[in-house]
Amino acid sequence: MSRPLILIIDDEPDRSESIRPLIHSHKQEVEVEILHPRDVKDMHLSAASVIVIDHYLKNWEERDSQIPSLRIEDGIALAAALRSQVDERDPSPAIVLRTGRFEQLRGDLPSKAAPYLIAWQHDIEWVLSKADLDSTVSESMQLIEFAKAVARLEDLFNQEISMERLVSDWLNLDRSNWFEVALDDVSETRPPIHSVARQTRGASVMRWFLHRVLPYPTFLLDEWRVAARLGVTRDWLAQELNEDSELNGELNQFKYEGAFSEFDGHRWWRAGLTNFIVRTTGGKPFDRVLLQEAISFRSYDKPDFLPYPTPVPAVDPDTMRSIRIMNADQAIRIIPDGWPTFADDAWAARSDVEGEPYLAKLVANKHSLESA
Amino acid sequence: MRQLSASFLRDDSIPILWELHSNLQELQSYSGPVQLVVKPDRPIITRVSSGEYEKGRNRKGRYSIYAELCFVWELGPLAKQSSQKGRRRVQVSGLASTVTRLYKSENESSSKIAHWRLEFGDNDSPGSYFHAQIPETLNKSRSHDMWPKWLPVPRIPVPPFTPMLALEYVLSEIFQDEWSDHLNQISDRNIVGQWYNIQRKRLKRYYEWQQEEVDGSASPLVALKEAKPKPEIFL
Repeated sequence: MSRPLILIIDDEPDRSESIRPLIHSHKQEVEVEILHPRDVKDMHLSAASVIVIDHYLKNWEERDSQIPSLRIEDGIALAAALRSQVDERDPSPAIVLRTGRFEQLRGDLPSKAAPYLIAWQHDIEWVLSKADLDSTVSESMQLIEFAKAVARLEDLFNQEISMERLVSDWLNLDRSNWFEVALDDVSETRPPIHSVARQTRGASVMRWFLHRVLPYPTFLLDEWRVAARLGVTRDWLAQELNEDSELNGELNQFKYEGAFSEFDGHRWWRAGLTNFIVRTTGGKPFDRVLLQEAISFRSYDKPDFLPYPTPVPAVDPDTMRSIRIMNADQAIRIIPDGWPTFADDAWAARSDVEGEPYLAKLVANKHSLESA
Repeated sequence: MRQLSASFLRDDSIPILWELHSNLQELQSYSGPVQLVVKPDRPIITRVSSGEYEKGRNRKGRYSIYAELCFVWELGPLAKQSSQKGRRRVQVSGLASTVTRLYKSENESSSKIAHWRLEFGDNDSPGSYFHAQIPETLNKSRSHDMWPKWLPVPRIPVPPFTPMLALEYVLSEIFQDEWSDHLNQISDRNIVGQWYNIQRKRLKRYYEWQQEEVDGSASPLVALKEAKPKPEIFL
């Protein structure tokens, strides 16, 4: 089987060369091809798992002399043109826009949500900030994750797709006693696995996961949500995850390791976490004292327990990323634009909502402002 | 119920319902009994009803009130027959008790004004199996006023109240018009439909069982009082 190809299209290919060593530094089995738009051939399109397109295409003389209908003004237009050419490929390659003007492109969108909201707007899979791509390893890792996810899609499409196969193969969850619960959790997010998945050659599955699942607390939870559910500080949990402790070993058993697992930090299966809590409290999951004892017994360092009865992670108003954990009576439920109904609630600090008219508009329950 | 009731609850009660949802799901995989407890120090709390406990759009009660709910439910897996596939079935394996308290809210202080307990009995209970009781009620000098603790009767027959049904019940009482309007207006009919289907099935089974028990006894009332449902009544 050939290695997945990441095809990078840039009007200044030499400037993109810095990505190549970054991608190869991860020692993953991927090929990288960097081409000027004029040099892209059918064979490249048919081989690519990921097509990365530069947003601004200034250096392209052949294009400038075309009639308007044939003039591809920028990367967004090129993405649309190439999308129609790769539409029949099975599975569909991922198309990613690279932009040096991310801030301009995102406008008022929260920075965490912007990559997929812009992608949704332009019928592509993702938007990367070019500055980040050149300077950080994680952006090159994101491209590798795309390549690996498309390869996994190919495996998924080799046989009849079912919810069970999506979970066991693409999301890579082994059979365990909480597998069925995880299956229910995934079903609640309505993955488009049947006719839509076939029609879009898997692109809908990728987008469902990247745009509707990964950014939100759903069947997968990030470090903030796991910390809140365990009743420990996020800093303590982050430190504990680096230790060779029994707790870390247990958490590892339900760490997410499927498609895009290294795309945006670690995630854990909600069903696995609940199983851990129910199991270690001897069937008394609401008993905080028992849970604290269970955590203390298994951890390397003395746990830093949260002094809150109902801890929730609150988001930063600008980015919509979780930034602190507080008690629920100090926070207010908000519904940011596009927040799925199947996701856990989003919370903002009550003090932030009161000082920020934009956040006040997002409050889920108008009565909660009255009960301050 | 989590999604249905969210706008009628205080925000800090919503995570408790999320936890409850996850823990209930976990019954599918956990082999032992599970105790679901919402204690009085962290109850589910409704938002304040400003006199909406009176029915009629032009009629409002004089006081602002709210409710708190806490419960202890002990559930265990029901043995699966080899021919059965899919979801595991659970049974009440111990306590099944939900307490609702009403408070009058006035000038940032609140005082308890009513409380009741909705329970499932056990096999030795004198009945009614599904019943309501009024817990001990003290007067201002903290001596027994009414319903002393030693008095286990009456056990007033009621339909089988799970914690979530008890929650719906109190919401429908303290928000007389608003709760039913909300159910009719909610845009995601799936949310309403799921709740409707679960409750409809349970209540139908309950009333069918009651109907069966009414026959063949000298006193239908005593027959109903003494009747014990089979464990699989709601399956």
